[in-house]
This record gives sequence, structure tokens and C-alpha cells, in this order.
Amino acid sequence: MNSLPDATNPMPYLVACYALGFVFIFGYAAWLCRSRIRINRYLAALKKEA
Amino acid sequence: MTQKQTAPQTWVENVRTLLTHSLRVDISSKERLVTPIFFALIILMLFSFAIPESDGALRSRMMVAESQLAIFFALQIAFSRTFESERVDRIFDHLRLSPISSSAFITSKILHVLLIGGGTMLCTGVLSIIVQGQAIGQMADPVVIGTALLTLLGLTGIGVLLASITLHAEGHQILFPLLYFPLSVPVLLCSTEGLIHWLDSYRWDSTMRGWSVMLIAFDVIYLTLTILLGTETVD
Amino acid sequence: MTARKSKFTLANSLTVLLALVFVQWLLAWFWVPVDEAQGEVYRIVYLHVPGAFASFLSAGVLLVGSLLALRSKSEHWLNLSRAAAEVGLLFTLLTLATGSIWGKPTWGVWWTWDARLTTSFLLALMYGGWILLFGAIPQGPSRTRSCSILGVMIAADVPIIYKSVTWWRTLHQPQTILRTGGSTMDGDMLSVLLFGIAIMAVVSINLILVRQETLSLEQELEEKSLGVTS
Repeated sequence: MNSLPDATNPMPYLVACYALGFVFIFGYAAWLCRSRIRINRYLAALKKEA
Repeated sequence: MTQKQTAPQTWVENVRTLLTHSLRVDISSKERLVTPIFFALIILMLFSFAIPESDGALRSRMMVAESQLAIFFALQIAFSRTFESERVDRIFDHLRLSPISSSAFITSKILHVLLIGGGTMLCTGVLSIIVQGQAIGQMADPVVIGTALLTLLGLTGIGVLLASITLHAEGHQILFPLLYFPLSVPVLLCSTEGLIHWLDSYRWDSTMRGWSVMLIAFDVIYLTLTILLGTETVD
Repeated sequence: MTARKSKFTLANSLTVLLALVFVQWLLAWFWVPVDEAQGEVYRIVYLHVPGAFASFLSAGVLLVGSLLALRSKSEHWLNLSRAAAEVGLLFTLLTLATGSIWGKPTWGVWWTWDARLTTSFLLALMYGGWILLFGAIPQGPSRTRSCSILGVMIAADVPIIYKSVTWWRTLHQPQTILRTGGSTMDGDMLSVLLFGIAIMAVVSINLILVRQETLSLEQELEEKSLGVTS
């Protein structure tokens, strides 16, 4: 626990927060787009088969 | 096609019939009544291992916390089995063919759970006082009893509704407490804070009034939601 | 074709919105003046508060989806609720995580059972519980009904969470934006924060709608593939 960054230096906290925000929001959006592309591909393949 | 014709029952009669039936089922299989109390006793014993002896204000806090939690867990066991008899006896299938309204059914369920819950609460409360070496007179206070009953009312609302929601869910034994604990926190918080304040000071002041009004407000919210939405699940 | 077109519009607008979120973060880091009392660390507010608003807004969408699903008994609206619960959980977890990180330099602890933290934690549990319930009941009218009822219950709990600060004495700082007698924040700070809240609200709605469409497409795909194999 002693290895925590010094409270007077705000940068680690700020960076950690915004990095988390980036991972959560942008990561979720990217995952959504990826799943959408995959589904569209499957749907197109099914249409061809039919 | 040769069904026996009976005189149509009023809504109140429907509720009474269903309530009597549920209570009869409970009395015939006594384990449904005894298990929650047995469970509460075990929890009280575990608390006595974990929490050190105390006195003064801390003691009243501890007593409220221990009793509340023991009652809370015991009620959770009782609530999660609200529709057990219906599941086993396939009463829902019969209800589909009968003219009983869903609101009568859900009201009878709420009353049934209130009675069972009240009994469980009383037994657990008395056991808790005895186990913790307190005077029963302290808990026989009208404010303490009133708060306990209001808490029971709110918890019953949540309990019945959640039991009906999780009825068809896979692993409902796990899902029920998962949903019941977070949703019941507002009721439990008001009741615990109010009781602690009362046992510390025995004064009916603005703080006590505030917690009581909030407790009543949550009871109204949860019971209204149960009656409004519970009929949906029965339908 | 129009449906496919609208999906593209939603996805495209998501890209633009995410770019705007990025711009707001840049403003928060480099343009807004530093806070006198808390120093640089206060800049977390520009992520934390919009995230919290988005998590509450998701509960609103969950309520709308649940009520519509209860009325119409349609899977389409249940998908909206499912998407709202998922996005709501995402933003609640983000709010909790950023709040916890902010708590360390300002309160000296990573976590405390303060009213808003506790109630946000409960909101996260409820969103999680909703998703678990959705997964535990097989597709059909019973799932639509049960999940919608739980959705209404969760949404009814959200005002309690928001009001909890005034009801229960806490460590958490009092409300600074929506308060009687005007905001206590500096003009520039407030405008960037309000911009952030607005953008995050639109982003969360957009994410919910894209997710809803994806869920509907998944169902369509499932039905079609079953049709092909049978």
C-alpha cells in the first residue's frame, strides 16, 4: 500500500481516470461496432445461401 | 363440459379462500414455518462469535443491527418460498381455468406473507433478545414494534414481487437474494437508523419523524408497485 | 433498405459523438482553469459527473423500455431495456471507479460507505441483477414480463439514490450544479461540465440504440439460421 503515488501529485489519478473512461466508453463502442459487422456478415452469408 | 356450477364469489371472499388455503398448506408442512426461524438462530449465534460484548449506545446499536439482520435473513428465506406451494401444486394451472382475479391472488399472497413474516419476525425478535441477554420490555416499546411492522410491510412488498418475477428463472434461489438485498436497502436503512436513534434517546424528534416518514413512503412505493405489477406476473 | 440505412446513420453519429467526447476531455485538461481548493485532481469531475448522469439516464430509458414492453408485450422493447441495463451498468461502474480514484487524494481513502457511493454501488448491483435475470429466463412472454417489472422497480429506486445525499449525512461534496440559489462553479468550468453532461447523455442514448439494434439483429440471425438448418 505504501507504493501508492503521492497524493500531492494529481497526474497518476487523472491519467488513471481518463484511461479508464477511454477503455470503458471507446472500448464498448468498438465492441459494439465489431459485433455489428460480424452479424451483418453472417446475415449476408445466410441471404446468399437462401 | 359437465363442470360443477358454484355461486360466484366476491373479491374479498376470493382473497379469504386463497389465504386460508395458503395457510393450511403452510401448517400441514411445518418445515416451511420452522426453517426461517432456525436459520435466524444460527445467524444470531454467528454474530455472537464475531461481535465483541459492548455497553451503552454501542450496545443498543449492536442489538438493533443483530436483530435486524437476523430478521432480514430469516424473512429472505420465507419470501423466496412465497410461490413454492403454487409451483409444487400447479395452482397456477388451475387459476387459469378459474374465475379468480389476479389482484385477489396477489393480495392474498401479500397478506399470507405478512402473516408468515410477522410470525417469523416475532419469533426471531424474541430469540434475539433472549440470546443477547436484553430485557424483553425494551423491545416491547410501541415505537420499536411500529417500526418493525412498517419494515415488514416494505420488505413484504419487495419480497412478493421478486418471488413472482424470479419464479421461472433458472437458479432462482441465487437470483432472489441478489435482487432482494439491493432493493430492500432503502427500507432497511430507514428502519435501522430510526430504531438506533430511538433506542439512544427515546425522543420523538425531527430526526425520528424524518426516518419514519421515509419508511412509510418506501412502504407505499413498494406495495403500490407490487399490487400494480404483481397482477401482471400472475396474468 | 431503410432499416439498414438507419443503422449506418446511428453508427456514424456514434463516431462523431465520440470525437466530441474527446474534444470535451481536451477542454477539461487544457482549457479549464485549475480549482483553488482541490488543484489539478478536480479535473476528474469532467468525466465522473457526466458518467453519473449517463448512468441515471440509462435508468430512465430502462423505465421507458420496461413500460412499453409491459404494454405491448413485445421483445423489441425488451431489447431496449436490455441495452439500457448494459449501458447503465457500464456508466455506473465507470462512475464508481472514477469516484474511487478521486476519493484517494481528496478523502484519503479508496472507498468509503458514503451515501452516494453506496447507492451507486447498489445501482450497479441492480443493473447486474437485471442482466442476470434476463439471462436466467428463456425467451418468451414470461421473460418480457418479469424483466420489465424489475426494470420499473429499479427505475423507481433511482430518485432515492439521487436524493440520498440530502437524506443521509455524508462525506460527499454537496451538489454544485443543480441547487437552489444558482451554481457554485466558475463560468468556464460550468460550461465545460454542462457540455460534458450533454454529450455523455447523447452518447449513452446512442450506445443504447445501437446495442438495441444489434440485439434485434442477433435475434433475427438466430431465427434465420434456425430456419436454414431445419
